[in-house]
Amino acid sequence: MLSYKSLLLAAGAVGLMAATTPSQAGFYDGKDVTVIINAGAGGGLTRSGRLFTSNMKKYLGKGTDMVIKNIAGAGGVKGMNFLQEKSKPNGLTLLWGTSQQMAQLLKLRGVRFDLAKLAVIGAGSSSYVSIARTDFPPGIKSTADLLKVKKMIVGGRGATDGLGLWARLPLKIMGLGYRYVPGYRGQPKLNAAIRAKEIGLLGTGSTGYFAFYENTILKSGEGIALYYHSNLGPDGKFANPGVFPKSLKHFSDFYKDTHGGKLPTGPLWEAYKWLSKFNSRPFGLYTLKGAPADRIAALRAAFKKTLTDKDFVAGWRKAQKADPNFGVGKEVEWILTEWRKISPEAKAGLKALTAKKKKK
Amino acid sequence: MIEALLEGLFAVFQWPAFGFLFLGVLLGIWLGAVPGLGGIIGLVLLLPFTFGMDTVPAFALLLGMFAVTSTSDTIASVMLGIPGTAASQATILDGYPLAQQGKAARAFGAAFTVSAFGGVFGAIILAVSLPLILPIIKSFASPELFILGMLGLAMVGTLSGASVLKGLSVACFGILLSTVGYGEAESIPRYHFETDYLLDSLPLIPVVLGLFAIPEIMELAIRNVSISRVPKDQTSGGGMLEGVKDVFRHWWLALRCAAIGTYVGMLPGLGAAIVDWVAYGHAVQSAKDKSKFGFGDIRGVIAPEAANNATRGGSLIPTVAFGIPGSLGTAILLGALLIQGLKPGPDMLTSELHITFSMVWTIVIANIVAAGLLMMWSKQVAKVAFVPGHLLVPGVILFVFLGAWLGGADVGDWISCLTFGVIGFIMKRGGWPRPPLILALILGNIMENAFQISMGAHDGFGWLARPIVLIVIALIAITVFLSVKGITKNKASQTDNEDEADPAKAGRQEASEGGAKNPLISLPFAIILFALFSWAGAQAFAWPESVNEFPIMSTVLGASLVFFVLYHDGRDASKEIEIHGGFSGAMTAALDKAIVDRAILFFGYLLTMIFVMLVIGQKFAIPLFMFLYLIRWGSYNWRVSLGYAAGGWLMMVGFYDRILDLLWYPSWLSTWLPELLPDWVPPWFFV
Repeated sequence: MLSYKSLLLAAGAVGLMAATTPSQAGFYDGKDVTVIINAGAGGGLTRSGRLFTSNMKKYLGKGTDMVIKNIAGAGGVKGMNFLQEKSKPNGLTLLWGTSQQMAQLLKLRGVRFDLAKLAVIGAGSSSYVSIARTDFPPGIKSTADLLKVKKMIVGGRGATDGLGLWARLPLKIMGLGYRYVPGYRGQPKLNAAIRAKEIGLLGTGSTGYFAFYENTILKSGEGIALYYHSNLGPDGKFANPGVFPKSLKHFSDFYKDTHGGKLPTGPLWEAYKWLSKFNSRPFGLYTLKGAPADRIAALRAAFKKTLTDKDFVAGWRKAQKADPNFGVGKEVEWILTEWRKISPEAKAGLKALTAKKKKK
Repeated sequence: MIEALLEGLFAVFQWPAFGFLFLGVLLGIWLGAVPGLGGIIGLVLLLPFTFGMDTVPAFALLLGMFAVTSTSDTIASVMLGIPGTAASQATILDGYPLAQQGKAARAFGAAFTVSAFGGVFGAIILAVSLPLILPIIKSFASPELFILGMLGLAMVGTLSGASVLKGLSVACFGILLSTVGYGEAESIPRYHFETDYLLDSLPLIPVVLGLFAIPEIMELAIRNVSISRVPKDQTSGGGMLEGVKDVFRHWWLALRCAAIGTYVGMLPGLGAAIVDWVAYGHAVQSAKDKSKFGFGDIRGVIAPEAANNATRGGSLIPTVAFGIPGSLGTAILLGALLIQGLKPGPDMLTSELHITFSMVWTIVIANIVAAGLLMMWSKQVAKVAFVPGHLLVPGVILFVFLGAWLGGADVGDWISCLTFGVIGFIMKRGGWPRPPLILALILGNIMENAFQISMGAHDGFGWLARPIVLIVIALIAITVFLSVKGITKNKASQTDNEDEADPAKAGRQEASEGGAKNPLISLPFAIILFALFSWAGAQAFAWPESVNEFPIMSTVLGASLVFFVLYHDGRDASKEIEIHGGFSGAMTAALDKAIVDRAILFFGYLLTMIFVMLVIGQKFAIPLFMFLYLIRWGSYNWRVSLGYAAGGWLMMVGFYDRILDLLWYPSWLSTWLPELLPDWVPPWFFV
């Protein structure tokens, strides 16, 4: 593997190197750590991953480099498979991205990983927004107009990725017709698709919202932000991230507004709540559980220090318009264990969402 | 707009922006010239260092480097017949034959001049036509992307080589290879033979280096020739200035191809990967005299080189205007844009227009500086064409095998490189063009993804009726028709001129890409390919539809095409048998013509090097190969051989270990040697 820093050194660009803070001596000194991102290059996950790891490496070891490797496909399952099937449990390969609980829960074809074999280093939450084209027939000038759409075309990364789920689950809950088109490798591809009118609706994390849409199709009126989705707290309330325009409501509020003040019920709504707990944490850093305990501890320690690093915090605020909201190590281990505690109703909802239509 | 244009220009010329631009250009030249490196590695490498920089210097560094890798990659394409990057594949078709004729300097003169011109012209066109092209970009969705990939494959399949059937069969083979590993829609592994190595996909760089570099190196080794088959004192019209003049002679072609480069390059997804073939195809189709293409026609260098540099500007547009990266390189640039706090969108064309223009100016200036520097150095580089082949072989082997190792640091990369070396050798000797395989391997995944999305978004094949799709289908039909017509015409004229057979011309034909005529070598390859398509197709039928559509499509089409090749080769082979009075005589003649015995010996050396590497590691195995090769094949004395091997070791330790920090193979030696070494001897000297 390459130590990219080194090549630049040779090119006489030593002066470019940012000053580093004192680092923990040990195993990671001078090592290259591969960070798999289970989404395409240029999107929100990659951007957040680059920002995080470029700061985290300062606390991991002297001369440590963290090299990003995008492995997109099957909505993130491919990257997770890659981590478990191609890397060694030595703490030198990590994954930044979504942990794919739903894919394992539903035992989807192509799932070759087992979340029980993962160790979580840290994880952070995000909020999502559903965005539609305003000219999608018969025209969506306001969020309520969405209810008039007969068959929406929804784009996403795969069967169980957050972007696709947050885009289509609300439609299904509201009983609206749609056709789901998976396969887009990340937000840049979805961005291209909605502009080319290939799809009419997509989901995006807050990074993608600010990077790709706020200044473009939302500003020009080509697109409309419909509602947002956020973390479901232990108190049973959905968080208000406070970063979106005030006019933008949480999906549950929009539903209440248009359905006589009542919240949805049934398997799909239970599935929505389950997803709001697990799938709203896309910024996870994982490695294989079999890695030596001291290396996992070193990774967690570096992760924790990164959260207070001023460069990281500034970069995060710039990209997300919010403070970082992460948990480290044991605080977030429940992500990899508690997902199994799903009610039969919620599971039925998830199954209904991913069921494939039989070909005529 | 003029104000923003000038503001962008002044920003680039300010310190430290210009310094970073120059640094980027130097890095880009180096990264483009060394096989296995390239612009993507450069971007990944430099990106973290731009986090704390101002916008203009950051992009001066990144774009300065990225813009020129497609200029310096010409060196490998012309001198070694290895496509330095995906964008310089077409250059080898005529660039390498020119080097073989002792006219490498002429090829460089033309390539660097036209690269600078293409880069500058592309950027200017871009700046002028910004408002007009945005709607075109927006109209390109997955169906257009898929069909554009088909056009690229049709171009390369029909243009590189003397047989359209073989070219298209190889393209199907490349598509099949692109399906190795996890599927796109569902992560089900395909054709991975239960190995971890093939779970993800077949890595591109070892395949490219094996397919192109090893057969060319073997050519030098087994024939004991220099790159130039013509001695230096017998070459004429091969100077660099002649190449510069060529560009002025063919200025209209250069202009057209630069325009093709700009507009095709901006199409998101795969414009940049196919642009050199579209330009090359245009050059062939628009030429009155097509007979010299593939044999060292300077127009075959001018066209792709003008286009591939012009794409750099073009591919920036969808990135800055929409946040839609046109390629992996621009996806990384998009990351840089976001890191700088800039948001793709109308602001980049209005309030931030000066930043956009500073990027355009960076590309312009980088292209001019790189062309100037490369012009200065190219005379010396071109002299390498006259160096005895035996002196080049060990050095190139080092770069090829370490280039293959660089991306994955896996023994599988060396095995892939060697395996595709054997395949490349058979293809070259049997008249099977190799470029379609590489382009198909690059495009296969993108096309499969675009095809599946098209089918999903349009609920079936409705996308085939989209206007741009229909236009591109018509272009594909015209391309195939004209190629078949051209080949038929050429064959007819060859038959007419059989009495005036020119051995030199026959030699050139034999050396050209896909031009060799050796049915008894070609036929077994066709049989293997047919069997492979049949087996792979049968496997694919057992898989879910989401992962078997593309393998089935490529195998059914591939097997059908190869069936016709089998018929032609079978007919030609029986003629050969008749001429030589029996199968045994014909086979002996065919093997002699291909110098198969020495080729097997050379492969044996390489295979041994891999086995030895497992035991004593690369830092011993490669210098040992160099030493033994020079002694045994080159008949050099032990002092020269030892000095050369020591130079190779220094390169490995100094550049690959200390600078690139390469992860070496953990050989048996590495498990105990460091313990035995005294403290003052660094273990990285040896393992």
